[in-house]
Amino acid sequence: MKNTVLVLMVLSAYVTAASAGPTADKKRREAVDISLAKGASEIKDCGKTFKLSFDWAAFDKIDWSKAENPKDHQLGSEITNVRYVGTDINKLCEDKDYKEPVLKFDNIVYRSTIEKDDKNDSRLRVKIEGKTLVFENRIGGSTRSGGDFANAAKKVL
Amino acid sequence: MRLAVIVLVLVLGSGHALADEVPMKELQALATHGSWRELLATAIKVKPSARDADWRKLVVSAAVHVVNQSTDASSGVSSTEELLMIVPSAEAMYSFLRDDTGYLDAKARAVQRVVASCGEQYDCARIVVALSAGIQRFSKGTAQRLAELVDRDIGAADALHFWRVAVAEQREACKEPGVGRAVVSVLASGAAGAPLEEALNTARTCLVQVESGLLEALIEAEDGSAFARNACPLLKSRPGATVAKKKKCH
Repeated sequence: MKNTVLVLMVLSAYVTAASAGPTADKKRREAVDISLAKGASEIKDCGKTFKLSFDWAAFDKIDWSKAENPKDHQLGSEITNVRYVGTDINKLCEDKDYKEPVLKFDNIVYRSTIEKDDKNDSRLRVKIEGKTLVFENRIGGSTRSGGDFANAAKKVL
Repeated sequence: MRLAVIVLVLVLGSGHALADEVPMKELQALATHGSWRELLATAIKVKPSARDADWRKLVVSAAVHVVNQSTDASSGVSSTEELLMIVPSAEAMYSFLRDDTGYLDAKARAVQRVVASCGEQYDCARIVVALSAGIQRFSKGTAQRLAELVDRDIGAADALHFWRVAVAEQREACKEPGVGRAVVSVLASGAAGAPLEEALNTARTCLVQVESGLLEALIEAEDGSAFARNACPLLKSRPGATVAKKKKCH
């Protein structure tokens, strides 16, 4: 009995250790989604609902050997980065000049990238893909803060 | 030597000191003896009707020699200071110097030597700016180094001339963030004439790379501001009828 308990404890410890990485990764991803949703809840002046999402498919395709930050570190940064996406969308809606162009979109996507753009040295770039407004944030540099997304969006709106 | 420089500066700065007219023969004699500083100070005393191609050639030759002597290997800080006293005055007196390729090339080499020899204790960037008017080319890679030096120690607007030369040398330089900063800075400054033309030309050459910075500045710019006035013709030619363009580019 004692041996069985010991084996189970060892096995349990092994399983816990083995799954620590994926679990931590999952928790961080959930924290990113929660942070994005928290910002989304602040969109009150647009008069419509947008679908805000983090582009996990693009995140998972990143070649982390070429990135300025390790993947785990970046996941931590993204929790802060995405916090202001919704806040800034609302900020745009508060401005009568920008409200109308913002309302043309149904989706707001935040995408991490390691790709540089020769035409634009800004780390935060904005693209319009049909009814989707895409914020492309190049990994590295400072974390995003309030106003960054609104200022970047104004360059294309 | 120091006295000669002071006399030269006084003469160059005195405007039309034509009381004692000097014949061309005297200038030629000064050239034969290698008295270049004196020649530069005296040439203005040749009566205007006698200032032919040979006179011009002698002035250019004297200016090239003075620039070279002031920055040769044996020269020190005092020579650089002398250069700063002589060059702007001489160029004001003999405006054709800024159109002479030989003189400008000599000046470009002098600027490079000054930068190579001036240490932390000297205001290299200000010397570079003071001596670089009219220079359209430097040895490979120098213009970008000077642009970075001036951008760091003086400011983005003063670096524009060097960025423009760097971009003319190699289009890749358009990707340097300093180029956009310099363009925006000059366009917003309300500068006119040559600096504005240089900024507009650089912006046209590097428009794809500097567009983002121009748009950012336009968003912040006041309606009817110097920046909006200068940047709008450039930005309107680019795709995307943004709110900022509609509001500020009438």
